[in-house]
Amino acid sequence: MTTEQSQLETFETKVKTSLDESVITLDKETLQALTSIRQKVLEKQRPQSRLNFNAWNFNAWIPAGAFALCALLTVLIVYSPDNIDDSTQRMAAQQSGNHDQYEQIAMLELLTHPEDLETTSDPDFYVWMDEILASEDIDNAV
Amino acid sequence: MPMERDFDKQYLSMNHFLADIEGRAFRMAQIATGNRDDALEIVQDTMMKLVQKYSHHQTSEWKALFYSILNSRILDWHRRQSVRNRFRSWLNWSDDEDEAVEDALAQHPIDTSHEPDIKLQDSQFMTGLNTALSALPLRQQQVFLLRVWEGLDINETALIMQCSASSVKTHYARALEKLRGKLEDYQ
Repeated sequence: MTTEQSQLETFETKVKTSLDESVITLDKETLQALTSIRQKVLEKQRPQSRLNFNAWNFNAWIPAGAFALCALLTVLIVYSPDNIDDSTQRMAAQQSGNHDQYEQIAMLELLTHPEDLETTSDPDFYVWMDEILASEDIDNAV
Repeated sequence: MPMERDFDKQYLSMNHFLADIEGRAFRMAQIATGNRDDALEIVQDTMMKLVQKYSHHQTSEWKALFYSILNSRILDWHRRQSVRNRFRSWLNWSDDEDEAVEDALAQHPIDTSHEPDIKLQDSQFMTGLNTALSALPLRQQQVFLLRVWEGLDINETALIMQCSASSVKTHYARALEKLRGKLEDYQ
């Protein structure tokens, strides 16, 4: 080995040692930043298949949940049994000309309306009801 | 379950690899950019790309891939800087930072009036080395650090730098000559 080669090797070793030392003597803040970067990068690579409720962003689901709730309430209000138009049902039954069906609907209405329970317990009411139905039969026949 | 076990094994290997290399990568980026925050950002981008794109490669290939990405990111940073500097010159902004870098070596003269102190000499050598390395052209700087610090051979360095083996030899010889000339007094 020549003197030149020896000097070159000494220089390279000194450079390497000096650079290694510069890594060892890195300030605490930089070392922490590097560790944090590494952990962040590696965590992003973890598979997300398992349910991790801690990682879920529940706030992101608030608008969707509110919309679903509004839709459900709208459906319940629009299609609730109280809102079904009685006259429409009656007219439909009259137009069909099916008297039995109309009578059944009328009876059902009487039974489902709680305020009419007192009248249904009165025998005169049934007499009056028969008269009404009989007169309607005559009208329909005409 | 076996998939999870494989992932955990790979996770640990990658963690170990990055923990070992991150300090040197940071210093290389810092020497190349002269800025701590930019260096951290470059290291982060490099780690991210390695983990996302190449973690399934064999462990033995990671080092070359890592430095290839790192050098590419440093090159990108320099390109962006040159565009920024062009804008600065159009706007006639004074560029005191460059002057400061050039003068840094001159600001650390060798103190020969005291008895030789090994620690002080080492410190002076380190400061001089930092400045001299920063002053090297980027390709020479990268080749020198990969060859001397990482101990990569000519072919590995050529692969990372995406150039021929003869170019690596030329860059290395020129870098060595400049550094020895500048650090002669510190030895």
